[in-house]
Amino acid sequence: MADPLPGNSGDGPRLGPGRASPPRTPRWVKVLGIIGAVVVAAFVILLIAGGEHGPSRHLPGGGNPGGHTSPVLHSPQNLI
Amino acid sequence: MAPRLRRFALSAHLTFSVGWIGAVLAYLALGVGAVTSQDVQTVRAAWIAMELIGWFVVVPLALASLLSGLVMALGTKWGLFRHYWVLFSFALTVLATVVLLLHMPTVSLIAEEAQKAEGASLDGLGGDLLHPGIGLLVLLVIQVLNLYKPPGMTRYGWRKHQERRALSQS
Repeated sequence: MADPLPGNSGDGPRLGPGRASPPRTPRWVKVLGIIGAVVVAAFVILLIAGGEHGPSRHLPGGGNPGGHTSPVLHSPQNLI
Repeated sequence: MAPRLRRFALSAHLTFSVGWIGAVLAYLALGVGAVTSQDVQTVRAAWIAMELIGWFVVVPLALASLLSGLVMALGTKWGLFRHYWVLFSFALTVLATVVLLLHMPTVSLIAEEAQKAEGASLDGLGGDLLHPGIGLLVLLVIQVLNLYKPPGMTRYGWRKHQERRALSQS
């Protein structure tokens, strides 16, 4: 939210002439909205399909709290 | 807001916002180092530095940027919900801050792991490029929106503007 000094730089809020109906949604808003929706959808699909997405997937526990493998893997039976 | 106070708040907001971008770039450089380096000490040091930069530079700058942005929006004629560019900037800043706060505990976990790990297991920790990479992209979009201020008033902003016009005419 830089330079919110309407009038100082000549680029303050562009209100347009007084009109009776609300202004139409600008094209850049629609484009940015579509891009945002696609990114969010892709992220949700990735989360559902792949589970872990962050660096925690490299941890021994695959990102489990504590970052350690299940104690079952360390039990003597599994070491044999 | 008085002009002097507005100038001060704007300076602070610009410093926090640009500082946030710079801190993310530094974090990314460390992330690249953690991924590409074969040296155990370098990988370990990179993760420790990423945790420190994350918690003590990136997070405070993100929160300060969000807060100062709110003050600028609510304290000036721009408002928070009147113009699309302000609304988008605010939403993207909140999103970036929330993702950052959710992501940092994982960074701490890996930094802790990196201090204990040796050899191959240290290599296996990988790096952290996705989050800061996307975060940087989002911050640059916010920066462009703030600089260009693309026109476009929300319905709420238009209604408020009409009310003000009606008041001034009566």
